[in-house]
Amino acid sequence: MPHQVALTVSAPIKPGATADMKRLLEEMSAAGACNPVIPFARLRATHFARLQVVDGTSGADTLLLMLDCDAPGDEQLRDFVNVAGAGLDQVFGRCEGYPATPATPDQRLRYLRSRMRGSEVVYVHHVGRSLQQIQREEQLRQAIRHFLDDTNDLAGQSAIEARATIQAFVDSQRDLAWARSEAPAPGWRFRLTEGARKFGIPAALLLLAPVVIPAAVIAFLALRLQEIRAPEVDVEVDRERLRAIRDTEDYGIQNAITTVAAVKPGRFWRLTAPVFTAAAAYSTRHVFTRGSLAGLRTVHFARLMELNDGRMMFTSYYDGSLESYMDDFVDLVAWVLNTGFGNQEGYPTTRWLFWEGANQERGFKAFLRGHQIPTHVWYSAYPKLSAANVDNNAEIRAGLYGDLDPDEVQAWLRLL
Amino acid sequence: MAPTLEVHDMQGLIARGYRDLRAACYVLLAVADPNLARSWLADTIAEVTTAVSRPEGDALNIAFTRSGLEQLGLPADSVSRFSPEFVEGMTTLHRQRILGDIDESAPERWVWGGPETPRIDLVLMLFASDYAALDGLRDRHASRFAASGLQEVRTLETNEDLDGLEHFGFRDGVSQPTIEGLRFTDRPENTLKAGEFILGYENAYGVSGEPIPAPLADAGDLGRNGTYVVFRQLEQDVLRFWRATADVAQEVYGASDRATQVRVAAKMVGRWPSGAPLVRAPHEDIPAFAGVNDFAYHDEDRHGLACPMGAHVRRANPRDSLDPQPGSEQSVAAANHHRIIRRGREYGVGLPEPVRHGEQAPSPEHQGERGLYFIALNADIARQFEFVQHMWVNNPTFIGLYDEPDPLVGPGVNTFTVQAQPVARRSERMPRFVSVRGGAYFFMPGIQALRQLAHGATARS
Repeated sequence: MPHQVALTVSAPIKPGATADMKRLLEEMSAAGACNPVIPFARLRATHFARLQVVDGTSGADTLLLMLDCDAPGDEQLRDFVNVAGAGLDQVFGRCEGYPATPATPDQRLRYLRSRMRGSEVVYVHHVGRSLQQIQREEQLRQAIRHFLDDTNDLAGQSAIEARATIQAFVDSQRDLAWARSEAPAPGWRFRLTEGARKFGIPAALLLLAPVVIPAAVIAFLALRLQEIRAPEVDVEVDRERLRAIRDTEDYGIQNAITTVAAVKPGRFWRLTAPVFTAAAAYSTRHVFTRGSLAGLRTVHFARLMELNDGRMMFTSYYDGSLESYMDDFVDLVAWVLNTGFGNQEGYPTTRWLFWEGANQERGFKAFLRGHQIPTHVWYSAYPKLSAANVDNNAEIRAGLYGDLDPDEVQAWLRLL
Repeated sequence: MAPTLEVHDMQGLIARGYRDLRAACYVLLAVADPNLARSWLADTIAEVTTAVSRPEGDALNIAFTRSGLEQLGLPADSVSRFSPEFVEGMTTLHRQRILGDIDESAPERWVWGGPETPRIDLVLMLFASDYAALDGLRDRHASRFAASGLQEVRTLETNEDLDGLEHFGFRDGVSQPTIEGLRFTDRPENTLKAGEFILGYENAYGVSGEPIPAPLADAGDLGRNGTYVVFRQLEQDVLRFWRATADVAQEVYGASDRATQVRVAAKMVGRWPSGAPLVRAPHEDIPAFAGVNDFAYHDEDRHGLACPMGAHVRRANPRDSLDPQPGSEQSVAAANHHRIIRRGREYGVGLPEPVRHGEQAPSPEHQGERGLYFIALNADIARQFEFVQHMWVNNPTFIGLYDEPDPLVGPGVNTFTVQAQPVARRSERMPRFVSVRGGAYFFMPGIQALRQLAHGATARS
């Protein structure tokens, strides 16, 4: 099974075309996953997608197309061009450098490729779980659940007997034949390079310890000095603007968020920005890869990206409301946020980076809300499933035929 | 160290539900003449029940909507300093989604507080030891409304005769948070900072919030000793509820006798009719456990075999069951950031048990609407009431469930799972039993703030 890739196409919008662009995106958003411009629901291996306008500070406004999809990325880009067809002309036709419309499929693909850029930090809820796997495992759970709803035979059975009955049911279903094998892991080449990176970076740091440790000590002391000197900056929260954004949220169990914030002013923050980014990139890429962000199981995909003008853009798809998303960070894993956002303007003051910061409820909420911008169009391939549901489904599939002891069998039955 | 609470400046409903004042009504009023209304308020302040001691004979409390504050002449830059939820009101499109106020519960169909009904500026809450006394109290106030520039929009009458039960037949209001330093002490995990419920005090995060400036210079903080009041009229369809329990009983347990129906209903609620929690009384009602409230879910029933994961009380206050470390102090603390004080009362004629269970036909006096005036107090409507309603009660994926909102009060419920061995049983036949008929967010000011609001009159005249 493939790993996941974060694709971004970034295109400057032609002068004066932003309002029209936003109107078009609004129509697409209202029409949903099957909208006639880009019917996202037909994408084969894209988990989440979005189209996003970011107003420029001095230069042009930017249109961003962001896909979180299964590797190989280029295949999904081609799929996207194919699904979007002439709709792509409608959207990107308002951007600089787009060929004369109607463009040919080749021209469209070439344009998107030419505008590709990377993301500094990428979080994937569970690395290696493909869209097909997620969809199939939900199909499996529903099939088993309906079978259980319709049968009364299980009432007197032991756990082991009950599991055998369920196995026999799945055996009898031809369209569930795939469930008899384990979910495939990402390709060996991917695992090899990720493994090399995961251990190589700490190893390199260790080798460079004589340099790295004194540098880190100096950096932390300098950081502490910044923290002590830093004035508390209140982020201006424009209630009308926020209310308009809020009106686009909470239609289902999942939400999308976008924030844009500048890095704190001053030489210290400018110099250390790459370190912040690298640390966040390492932990999301190599530590939080198996279904949780330091214990939180509510985020499907998230990214941190440096915009052309140096501001940092954060995007995420998460379960529940913004209020609950923020509360999780405030109450449970403030330190994770501190390390990712602590150098952004308006962030509540941290203490030695890991302490305070996000656990200052009002300051943190004002920071996030104050920097929130609308997510114009976004799409989820599994809008009714929470990340916890997706994990649970994977466990159902994993335990269906495995060797389990009686306690494990009982635990497995509880997943259903 | 608990702060000293200025109980003389707080309205009494914060400290007490006045349970021994069995009769109550809520008079919804609109301001017709601001000047007269301010003088009325100035005259009435002396009658407002404070939190100092238990009231004898009767009690009176007052709370305002945003338009009420505006009518009294509070300038826009003061009004805008109240919380966004209060300023925007209960019926924005976004709130309709998160509160579940859609379909039958849509504000367009409300009998008060909706877009189609007259504006509500304030609520006068009256309590008395019996209905004769309440009538006297109400008449005395009502006779002054016209001359006081007030217009009675609607009076919400309560019903005292349900013996501490709500209309479905369950004891209600067992679990309440205790305010630190207010009246009595409680287990630490149920004792919350005053600022969680009363403005102007330190909350769970150690901050006391921004003051709301009064229009007059040096007049202090209008928010101080006040609280936000969530008021909702919730109609209960009692017959539909008990009919549905019969269907679910058949599906889940293969029997639909009355005992099994009660068992299913208890599984939906999470407590037995007596109030005994299923966590402690898993198999049958144990009336001796009626007031038991010192239990934990993850610790005692982590798989929901006694109290289903989706049961109403387990959602409304998950106690120790939140991720990422259920069972930990951190989990309890996180859940405690979303508590509310409940001060609701029932309305409408109660149905006798045989009628509830379909053993006796309802008679003409059983006609009409019945339900609960849900009244909740909190300091942060978004973090407390709205969060509970949206993320726990209405959330179809609460605590790992699939497509399953609250079985008792959720909107358009269809699935209810009863965890069991060897496998969980499910019902997909759950209709909606509770619908919203009206509602508004109010602010219940402290006594000093009431004086400020009334003062506008003298300042202007």
